[in-house]
Amino acid sequence: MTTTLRHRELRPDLERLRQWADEIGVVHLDTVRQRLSAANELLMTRLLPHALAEDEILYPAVRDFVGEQATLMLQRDHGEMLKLTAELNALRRAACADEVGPRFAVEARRILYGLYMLADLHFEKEDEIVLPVLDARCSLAETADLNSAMERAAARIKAEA
Amino acid sequence: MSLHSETPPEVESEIALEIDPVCGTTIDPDSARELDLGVTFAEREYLFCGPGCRATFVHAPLAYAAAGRDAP
Repeated sequence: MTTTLRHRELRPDLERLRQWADEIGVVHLDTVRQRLSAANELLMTRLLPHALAEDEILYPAVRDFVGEQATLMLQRDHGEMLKLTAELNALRRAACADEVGPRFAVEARRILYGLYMLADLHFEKEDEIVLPVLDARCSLAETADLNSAMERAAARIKAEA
Repeated sequence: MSLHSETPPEVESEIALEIDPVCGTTIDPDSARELDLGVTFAEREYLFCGPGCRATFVHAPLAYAAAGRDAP
């Protein structure tokens, strides 16, 4: 599976984050609690393992071709996603403990829309910066090996979390 | 008047403390760094109270880094 196809597979997850953000202020608090838990699950089992596998496998493989600044910029996106996930979890715990303050809805929307925008733009950047390099520099077999290594790394990261 | 004497004593003694993401202990970041109890993960430095917490984090960094801190 190429990186593009993996992005295609993950895009519905991003749309879910956006949809859950849209619902805040419309649905009952219990539903928001469930949505925050579901968002955490989605981030911990799908988006972040994929992101961290890229840090570990994909970026070192393409760094010499796209330049270090480009891979650092992409890694920073992952760092921001992790930071927003940590904020989401702090908010989720507060909601589950019935410690919902007056800014709860604002914060929940900020975090979910932030994750959506960040990941959406990040996918676009990778498609524009990394994929042309893979197409130009790697054979189909090499790309397949890279993707297998990424999937193994993502599975390990997910299991460890 | 020297620059040193113009610094309020409460500012001089103020230490920016960090929280160990594994056990929640409050730690002095400078001491933790001196003892090599830091780890950089996803562009951020995490500091620990001891080698046990550091090793626990290194084994499963995503779990601890994504957990987040509760509001004080």
